[in-house]
Amino acid sequence: MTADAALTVRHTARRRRRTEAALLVLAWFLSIGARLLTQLASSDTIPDDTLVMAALIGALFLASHLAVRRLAPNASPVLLPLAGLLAGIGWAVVARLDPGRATDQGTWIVIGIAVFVGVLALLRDYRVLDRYRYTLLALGVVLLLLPLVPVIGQTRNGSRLWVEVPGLGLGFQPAEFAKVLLVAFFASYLGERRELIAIAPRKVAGVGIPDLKHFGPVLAVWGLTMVVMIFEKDLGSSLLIFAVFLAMLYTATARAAYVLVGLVLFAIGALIAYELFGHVQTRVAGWLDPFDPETVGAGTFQIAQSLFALAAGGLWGTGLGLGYGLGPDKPVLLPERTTDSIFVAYAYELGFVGAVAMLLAYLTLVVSGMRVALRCAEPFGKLLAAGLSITLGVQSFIIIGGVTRVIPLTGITLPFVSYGGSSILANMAILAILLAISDQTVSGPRGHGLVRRKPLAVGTPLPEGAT
Amino acid sequence: MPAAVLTLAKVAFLVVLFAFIAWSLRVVIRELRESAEGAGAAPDLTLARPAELEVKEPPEHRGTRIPLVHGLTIGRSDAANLQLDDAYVSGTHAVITARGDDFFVTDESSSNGTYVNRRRIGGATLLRRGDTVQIGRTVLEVVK
Repeated sequence: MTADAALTVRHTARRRRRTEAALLVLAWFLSIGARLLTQLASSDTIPDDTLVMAALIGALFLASHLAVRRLAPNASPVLLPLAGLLAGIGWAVVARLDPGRATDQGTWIVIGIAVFVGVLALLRDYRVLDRYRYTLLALGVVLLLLPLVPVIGQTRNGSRLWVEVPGLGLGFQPAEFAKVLLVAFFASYLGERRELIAIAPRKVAGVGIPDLKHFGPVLAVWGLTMVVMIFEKDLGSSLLIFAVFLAMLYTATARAAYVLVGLVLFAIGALIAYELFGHVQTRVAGWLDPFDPETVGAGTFQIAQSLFALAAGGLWGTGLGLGYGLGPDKPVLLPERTTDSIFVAYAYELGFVGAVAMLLAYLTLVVSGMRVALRCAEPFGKLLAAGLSITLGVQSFIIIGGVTRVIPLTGITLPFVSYGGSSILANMAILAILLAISDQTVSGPRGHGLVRRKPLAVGTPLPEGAT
Repeated sequence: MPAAVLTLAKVAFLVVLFAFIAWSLRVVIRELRESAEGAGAAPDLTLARPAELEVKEPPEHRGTRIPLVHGLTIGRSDAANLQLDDAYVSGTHAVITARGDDFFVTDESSSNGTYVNRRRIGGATLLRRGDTVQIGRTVLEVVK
């Protein structure tokens, strides 16, 4: 019986890796296809370096696949191909919009895959993270505060979220990494104290208030995050951390009342921020009326142009490489096209149909991550997988919703697609952690008979038939 | 390239893109269904080599064997896979994990600790054949 069950699981692992390999081959074709389409739009011949590019992308996919085979053989088969597809198409779009950034983005993806493999190798047992709870918290807070440090902290586009060491010319956005560390901290803390936090010994106005001794520290961390982010004017990241925190709190306690309280807190915070900060008012104005003649040339130009581009793309799009005003030789009609507005550039050229495909790709990624959480048997892994999946989903929603005028536009990167090293590296790390958790919790078919469903009580009579 | 060729190529690209998405979604839905069936089921089994724990103490259960599997929880609570009815044992006292061919025991921040070969363990501790694991008043030996 033992041997049978072990074999079944081995079979599952093989099937998963075969599925992953097949999906990666498709993602490889699509990445090359996207690149070729953008190039053929303005040329009659297939570029000479196509084979080199195909070989490079293939080598990267192969390397990451082999790493998963070796380090996480039982992991979910769709996470890596989906990320690979998004990164591949993202790279092709970045290269088309700004050829000067193609090599940069490619280099970041290569380093990102190295980070992916490194994290997988380090997290042979992801639960080591649970032991370094407060180290993760401290690192996360330091990273968040880093841009406020004089000399190395830099303000770009009105937000102080960059860190650059003078003389090196190499900057990064610490918030991208801080979000991963904070999610890990929340998972660890909430995982241990979820019962204590779920109990509400006192009631205030009909809403149970949990014991501050257990709930206070989480609130403090969250408040600190908020203050720092508002101070740095990084609205996108603060919205992200807030939403993820609420979702994780709900996952841990199953108490909808906390979500309600959180939303009320959010409404109050949003009102105060609106009254206090001009840049918040600009964002809201652009959301409510992007075509206001007084602002359309300046503050709301980005969102107005995004809407024009989406409309011009229509159902099927202009075709990759054919959108007007997106190329390097044409005037820049779409601001922030390789970062904030990359989804718009993509949707302009591949239309509503292509946009739906990308939304579905994110949806599948999130659902797959939530499956990892569902399957995980212990609270830390469950909350970590849920938190990281929610992070990917909420972040995609914030930026896609922003550029399509569903919510006010707050700048944040589109995971795996946007140009930018910090974003690529942080999301590759998230991917590796999700794979590690899923590898260590994926189970064989039910009823393998190895463990008794009924607990074996020592000290009470044994069930019949125990050997 | 002529516009017609580019349009055809675009349609082909979108078709493959949706095929990729549909396939991924199918895999995820299938796995979700498996999750639903397996929810609350026995702990996970990994590729690890089969091994068992044999009860040494208390004497009334001497010789009882418990198969080692990934995720096996040991504790006093009803939810534990191996329930030890012993006041010195915490609700979830220790857990077994597997990596490759090896099994590890990890103490789950229990009040009285988990001992391997009479030493109190810190992190995940490798289990070898013949090792004794003591949890509260229960002594288990790794066999096979």
